[in-house]
Amino acid sequence: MAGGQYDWTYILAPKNKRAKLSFFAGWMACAGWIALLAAAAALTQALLMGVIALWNDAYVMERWQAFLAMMLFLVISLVLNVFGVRILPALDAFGLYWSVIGMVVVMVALLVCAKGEYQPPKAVFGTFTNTSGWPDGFAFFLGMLQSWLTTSSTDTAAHLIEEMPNPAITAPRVMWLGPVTGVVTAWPFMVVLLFTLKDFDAVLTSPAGPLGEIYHQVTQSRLGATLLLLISVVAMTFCTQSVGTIVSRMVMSFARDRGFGSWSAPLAPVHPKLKSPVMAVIFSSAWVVLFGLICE
Amino acid sequence: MSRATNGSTDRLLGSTPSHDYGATERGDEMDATGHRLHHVVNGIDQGADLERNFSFFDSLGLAFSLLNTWTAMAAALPVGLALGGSATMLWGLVVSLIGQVLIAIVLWVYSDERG
Repeated sequence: MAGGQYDWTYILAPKNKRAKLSFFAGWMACAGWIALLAAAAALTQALLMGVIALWNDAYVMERWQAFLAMMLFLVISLVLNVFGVRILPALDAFGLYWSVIGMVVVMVALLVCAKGEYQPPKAVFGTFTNTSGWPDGFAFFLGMLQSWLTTSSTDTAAHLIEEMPNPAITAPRVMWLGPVTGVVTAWPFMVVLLFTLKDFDAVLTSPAGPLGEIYHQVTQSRLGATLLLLISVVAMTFCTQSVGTIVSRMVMSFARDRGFGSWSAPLAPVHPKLKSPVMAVIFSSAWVVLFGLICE
Repeated sequence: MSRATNGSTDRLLGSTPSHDYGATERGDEMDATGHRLHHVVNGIDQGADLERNFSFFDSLGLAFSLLNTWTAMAAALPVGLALGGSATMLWGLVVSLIGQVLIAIVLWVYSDERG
């Protein structure tokens, strides 16, 4: 029952519509997760390119370089999910430690290097800008898209329940604690980031990316900014691996219920030795290669 | 596409969901320790069972790594600053959190009701 959304739809929808609605939900969820895998790989690549841009002002990223960097993180995710299913639990627990400790390190470094030069509180907590051309209320919701995306882990636990020893207790706890831990850590981090940054306009346009630019503005050191940025690169590598894990369970589960028509049979099986839905992992990664070829 | 759609929905309608995977069926193959190597439901070979290795903390670690809210939010600063500014980024996080927890609660209540 690792299907999440489409299982819920099947259970909750009226009997005469539930197969169609569930099928639609399954396709939407699979497409969404595969796109998220592409987004995770692309964001990791963007952070890595930020490191390069910090050291070389004249550097202009070639598209094929961006594509290759994106593929690097995709391949790491693919290899771990195909061959490393047994080390994934320990790896993800380590990913949590890495991310939280790394974030604290960044916050402390930024606060120390800022030496008391902060943005006024009004600029951090009360500044509403709208350059989109939409009405203010609508712009608020558009701006919320990112925070919504980065807190959407409700179904993560649902796709993982076949791998939990005690899913009835564990899954609901992870469902609500995922976003809570995410926001409890990210909120103070964003506050520190917005207080310590020096030049808003440079953040918007810098080739080093917003994070690299802020780190560089505050620390005044390329090496310092690079080290801080590498924390995020590693954290996002864990992210790409996690998304790869979840998307493969999603595809596997939907294939078991024949959601992919005649493609279902090859996508469904879990490999007897590797204990991983190998074909589902490869299938979702193949889509990301395709997205990469189109976009980069 | 349309052919696949019809075929699949018909099968979804007519078949038992594949979730009752506790029962051993014809076509199943076991290894020496009694773990299934092949498990056939509704004519689809589901292969082996996944191993239950994710403890609570491991699962939370996966969810947290997957979100990495702080990096993802910071990387989206240019978008956020153009659409609503810092106020939207900070308070939008709080609004999103409330929404996500509400979703989790609704799912919990529903699954409690329906068993």
